[in-house]
Amino acid sequence: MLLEVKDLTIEFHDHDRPERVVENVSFSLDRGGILGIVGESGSGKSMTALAIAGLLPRKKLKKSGEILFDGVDLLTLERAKLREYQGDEISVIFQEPMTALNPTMTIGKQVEESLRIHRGLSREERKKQALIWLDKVEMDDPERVYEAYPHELSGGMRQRVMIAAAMVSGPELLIADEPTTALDVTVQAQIIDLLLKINEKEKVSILFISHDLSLIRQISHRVLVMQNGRIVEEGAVEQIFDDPKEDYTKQLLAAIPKVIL
Amino acid sequence: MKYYLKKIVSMLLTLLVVSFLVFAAFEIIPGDPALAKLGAEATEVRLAQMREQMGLNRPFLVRYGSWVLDCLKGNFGNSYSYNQSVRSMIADKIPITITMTIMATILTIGISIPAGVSTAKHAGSRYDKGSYVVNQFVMAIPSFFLGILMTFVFGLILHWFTPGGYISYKKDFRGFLGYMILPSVAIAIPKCAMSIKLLRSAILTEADKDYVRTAYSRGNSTTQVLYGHVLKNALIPLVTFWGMAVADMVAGSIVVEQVFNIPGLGRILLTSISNRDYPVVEAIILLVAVVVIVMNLLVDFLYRKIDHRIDREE
Amino acid sequence: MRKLWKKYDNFHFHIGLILTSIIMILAITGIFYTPYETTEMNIAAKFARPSLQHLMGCDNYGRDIFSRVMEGIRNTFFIALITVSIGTVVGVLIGAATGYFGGLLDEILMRINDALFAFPSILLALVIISILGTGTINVTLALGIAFIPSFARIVRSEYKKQMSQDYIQSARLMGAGDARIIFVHILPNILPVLVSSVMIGFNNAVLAEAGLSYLGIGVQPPEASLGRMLSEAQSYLFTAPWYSLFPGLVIVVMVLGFALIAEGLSQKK
Repeated sequence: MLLEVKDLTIEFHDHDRPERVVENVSFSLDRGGILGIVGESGSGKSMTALAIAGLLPRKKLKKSGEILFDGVDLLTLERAKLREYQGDEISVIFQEPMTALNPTMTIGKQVEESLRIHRGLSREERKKQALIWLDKVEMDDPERVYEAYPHELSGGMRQRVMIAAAMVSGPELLIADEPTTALDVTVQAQIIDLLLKINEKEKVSILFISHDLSLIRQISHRVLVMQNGRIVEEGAVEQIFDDPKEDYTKQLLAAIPKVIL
Repeated sequence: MKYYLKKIVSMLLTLLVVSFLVFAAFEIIPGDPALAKLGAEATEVRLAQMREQMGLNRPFLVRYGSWVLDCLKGNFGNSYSYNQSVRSMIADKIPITITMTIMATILTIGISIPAGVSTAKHAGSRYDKGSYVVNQFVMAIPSFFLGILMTFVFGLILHWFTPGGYISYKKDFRGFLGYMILPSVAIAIPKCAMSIKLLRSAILTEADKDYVRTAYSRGNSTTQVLYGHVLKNALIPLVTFWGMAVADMVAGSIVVEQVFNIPGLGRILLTSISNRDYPVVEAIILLVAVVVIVMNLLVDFLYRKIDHRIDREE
Repeated sequence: MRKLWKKYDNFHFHIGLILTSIIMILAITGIFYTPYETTEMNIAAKFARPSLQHLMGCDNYGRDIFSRVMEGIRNTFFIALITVSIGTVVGVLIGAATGYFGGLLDEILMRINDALFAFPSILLALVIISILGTGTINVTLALGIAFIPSFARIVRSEYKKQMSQDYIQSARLMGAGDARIIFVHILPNILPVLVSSVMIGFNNAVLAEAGLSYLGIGVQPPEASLGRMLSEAQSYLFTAPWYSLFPGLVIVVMVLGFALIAEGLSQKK
């Protein structure tokens, strides 16, 4: 078991009344597995992902439960210790590739950043690794991309760069938070293919967050359905799609156009 | 490349307009330069000779043209009041103004970056609020008053230096630098306060952006995120401000020189204004304008170096 | 007043309003009344320390510093006011014309404006003074002219922004002339920007006037001015530090007050 979340509860205290965005969420993820979390906006799926990545805001927030990664509770880990996991064993790719990259930093610097932080590699060694990964995410002309700035790339290319940057340190867990939502359909399919390939070759576990059931179906081994901060249903991908138990899951499935399914 | 060329051409055009304005401004002054040079008791014949000799009979544009060419050669004509060339009067004062401005610029940037980052990092804390109050107050202090206060505290009470003292950079460069410190601080501090305020708000704006979260997700500490990622983006608006601040500091140095009794460009400018010694005034004004315009060009280049997106918009 | 206080219910605005009110009261009272004659010399009171008789002490001629500061505030305040008025009115006219009509006029005027922008305003004022000569009226005029480019630039860019708005098209369709569109339709929309630049401009004018007077080119003696007092006081810094301190502090309070009001206006709540 790589990741085990137990009774995760997150409350925001930035308004007069505390707001519970995640409530008693428990699930686990095997090494090499792909877990899809599906739900509408406000279901708590992204908050859960951010909690695992250690990226929740530090103020006006109350959290309880456990997030066990390789047996270590990340939720209560002090920040300096947590940072050793971030970008090294746990990597994240985000929804908006247009804004998730630093506009004033070359692609190369951003791709190799986690190597610079976590490994004592030389400049040449880092560049070599970065170029290997730019190639693995199927970028044409990695040398040119290495020197380029984000605004010179298209949305799909930027998301590939994000994947390269996330994978360069050889993480055990890749959290993909709506990674294809901002992209158009053909590019979406390419990114999904790429993630599946990476999962197979690099044996990295993937936590895939999306509101899009058809994407979840294409990529996931197991699926978690969330609504209003709680888990509604959990199961293998075939079971969820062919034999849903809960009404909410059935409603979600009914809302998908049949052609895509 | 095209970008640099375009900027340089535009700068040259501005320089041309500036030089024309300066020349034209001193042309409309009532009074006869020949008379000013020879004095009231000059004969009419002598005056006519002098006008001929000074080239005053030529058409306006011809005179402007030859004046520009002379200036390019570093020949700014002769002073009316003193029997020497303008060049010899101002040449050895220029390093004083430049040293003061450079020191003040280094101080402004050197202090405001760490201070701006740390106030932004602790935004909302007591430290942040306290520095806000100090900042607002400091911004309201004119630099010459700041200079007087510093003379009082460091010169008269603490005896760190002799008020009114000055060592020429030709004699003892390090001693000279010592005497430049307080004037530079006096010019720099109000600009510093402004920079800190601007940088703080620029950083807070940047800190909400998505790439900051990405940077955290790679295991950066807050300090690493601020200096490694946020700062460069937050500096974009600051660069423009610093460009204008340098221009202001050049002008400020003229006033502050008087506070610390430094015999620089400012003193010559002031005596020349009261003596109506126009060639000197003209030359100094032109020099300052050139410095400011070149400064602006450098700022544009620096700007582009930081923000590569400009390339696309052009 | 009470309405304003309530509308901009924040700390900056309140403190700024209090500071500015104190300065304004001193400036306006200074027109009719000062505790002592500002030029009255009293050798016995030479370098008198601040006391109840002489709130800010006396200078090297035994003149009451408080009275002279009041006169200085009055001078600085009105010079700054006229300066900013000249800058605003001419700046708005040029900025509106160039921003609204565009074309060749815009090109030429903006080119000149850019060139003028290369001179820091205090330096531009020095050039104009060297042409016009020193003295209160010339300094006011010089500063006023020196402030035109920055106002023109701001107003022009605001007009350019407004030009793309729909309401201008509809005003045209209703048969409004250019002058009417410029002043009745667009001007009110750029007021917020204009007000804040007037505030900042006022502060710059105060600082520039004080600087020029300090250099001895502004208000001429025996008339009192804050900058001039500072330059005279500097020679007696050791014997009478209060002589430097009070005029300087008054400048600080004046600038701070306006800056805080401007800050408060921009924050609203």
